[in-house]
Amino acid sequence: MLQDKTNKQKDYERASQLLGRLFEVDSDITEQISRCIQYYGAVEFFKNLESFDFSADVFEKLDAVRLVLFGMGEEVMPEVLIDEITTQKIDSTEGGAEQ
Amino acid sequence: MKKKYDETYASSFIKGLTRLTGISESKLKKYAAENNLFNVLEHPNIIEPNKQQLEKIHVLNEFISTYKLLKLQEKENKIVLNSSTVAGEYFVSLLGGIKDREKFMAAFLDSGNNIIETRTLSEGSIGEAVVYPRMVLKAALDCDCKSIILAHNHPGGSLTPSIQDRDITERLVSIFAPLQISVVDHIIVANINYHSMAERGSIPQPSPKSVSYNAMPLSDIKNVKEETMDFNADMSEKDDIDLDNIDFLEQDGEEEDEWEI
Repeated sequence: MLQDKTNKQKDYERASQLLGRLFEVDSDITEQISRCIQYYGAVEFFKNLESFDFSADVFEKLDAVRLVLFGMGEEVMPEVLIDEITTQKIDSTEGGAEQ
Repeated sequence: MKKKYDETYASSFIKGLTRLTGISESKLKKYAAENNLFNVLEHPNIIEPNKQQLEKIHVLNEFISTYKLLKLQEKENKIVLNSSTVAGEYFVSLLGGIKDREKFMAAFLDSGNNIIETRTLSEGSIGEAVVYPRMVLKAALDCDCKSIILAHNHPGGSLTPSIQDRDITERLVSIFAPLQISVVDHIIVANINYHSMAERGSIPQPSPKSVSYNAMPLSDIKNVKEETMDFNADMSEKDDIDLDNIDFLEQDGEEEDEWEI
């Protein structure tokens, strides 16, 4: 069981480091991401992105990762945002129908 | 309605990828109009990214694999590798991002196919790693497992098992058979794809002649040329195929790809 926890912790750290590399941010940001992701879990971390205290720049990049994951069918969006995205898309695709 | 929903997903994916990599939205949309959009992650060169963009896609791929592994771990306290698909995805998340060396791993399972432990048993150079059967045996006996899934990566990108891959599988099958420990699969990972020897029915039978504890090299250079198509490699390009109409290899029922120990 201890082994499980250690492996999981390593994977959380690896995930945070990969995000740090992807965003090209300092190690303190990577550590902040690591703390949040370990506390909430990977799925809940993205669902609760709005509740963390990340800078606007980091938030935007995390949100971009969330969009990619959502696009791949992962359940990472809070319900309220799914409704928003779906409505926006339907509005934009149906808006042009009016002649 | 379904189409609009699909468009929503595609549009989110494009928006996110553009923000992360700098690849233009129009380029991605143009590609998506005639192809499976997710190919850009699997085969990024098709959209001709620059070096920096390509590196970002590789890192993103690694993150996605790690994310999927964490999701699996969070869902259940124990990870159950009860099919070649789950095992393949599990090892892709562990080995998919490694491009600079070969790494040989094994998942040791209990009678319910729960992972007792996953260990790295060897790490080598870009084209070769050496496997010590004694180390695999010791690790298996230490955790009192009932079955084992072997896995290693091919940094060169080929999904086809090499002659050495087959030899080491046969040797380990033969070593463990008298101990009533089954080697149920050998997964080969290249990028984000995998090849399952069990799925192809190519796990060898135990042979007393093959029992040897000498170190064995693994290599992805001398591949066995018997495969006509790499599993998973091109499936993304065949998304419009109705999966219900495909006769999968050795698949008679829904649970056919589950292990039989």
